[in-house]
Amino acid sequence: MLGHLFATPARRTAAWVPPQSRLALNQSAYELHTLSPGRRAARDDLVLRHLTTAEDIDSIRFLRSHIDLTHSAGDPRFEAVEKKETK
Amino acid sequence: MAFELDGELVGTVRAVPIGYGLTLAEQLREQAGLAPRDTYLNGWEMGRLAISPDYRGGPESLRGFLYLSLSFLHDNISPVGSLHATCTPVLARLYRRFGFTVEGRDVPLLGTAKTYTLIHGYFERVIAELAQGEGEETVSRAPQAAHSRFITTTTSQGAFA
Repeated sequence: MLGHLFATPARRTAAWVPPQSRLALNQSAYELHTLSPGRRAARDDLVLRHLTTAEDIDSIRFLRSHIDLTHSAGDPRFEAVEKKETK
Repeated sequence: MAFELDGELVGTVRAVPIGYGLTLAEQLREQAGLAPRDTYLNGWEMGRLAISPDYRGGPESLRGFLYLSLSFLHDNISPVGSLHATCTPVLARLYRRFGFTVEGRDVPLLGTAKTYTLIHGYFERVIAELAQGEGEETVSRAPQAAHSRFITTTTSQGAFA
C-alpha cells in the first residue's frame, strides 16, 4: 500500500525552495511513485492515494453530490473521460 | 485521487494537464477570450476537490489539503508551471489568499445558466503562500458542525468544478 501513498512533506516555514532533484513522470500524470517507508506527515497524518478498490470508491461516492458537474451534463465523453476510476 | 486520514478516505481531488483541451478551464478561457499567455506552460487544472463535511475545518483545513495536492504534483511531475481552476466568486476570494488571481468573472457556460470564476496561480507562488500557514494543526476532524460552515457552504457549490 505504501506505493500508493503520498504524504504531506514537512511544512516549509520559509520561502518555497524547490529541491534540486525532481522525479520525472513518463506518460501518466497520475502514476505514483513508491515512497520510502516511514514517509508520512510529521504534523498531519494525511496522505494522498489512488482509489484502488470498489470499497474505496463506495466510501467517497457521496462526495460526488458535493461537486458541481453542470458542465459535464450531456457530454458524451463523460463516462470515458471522467469516470476512469470506476473501470 | 483521494485523501486518507487515519485510514479513512476524507476527500478527493483531481489534476488534469492543461493544453490538451480536456479541461473546463481551457474551455471557459477560450469562451471568455482569455489568452493563454504563459499560463498553459506546464499548467494543470485542479478540480473535483471535495472534502467530507466532517473534515471541513475552514481555510486552514483547506490549506492542508491543497498543500498536500500541490506537493504531490511537485514531487512527481517536473516541472509544474501554473495552476488553473474554476470556482464560485466566494471561493475565488478564498483562493486569492493562497496566491491565485482572478482572471475571469461571471464566465458563462454555454448552454446553461451557470457562470464561473476563473482563477490562475503560478505554482511557485501558490505553494509558497500555502506554506505560510499559521495553524499547526491544519487537517483534523471538525469538532463542531458550526466550524465546518465555511467550507461546507463553498464545496456544496463546487469547490473546484
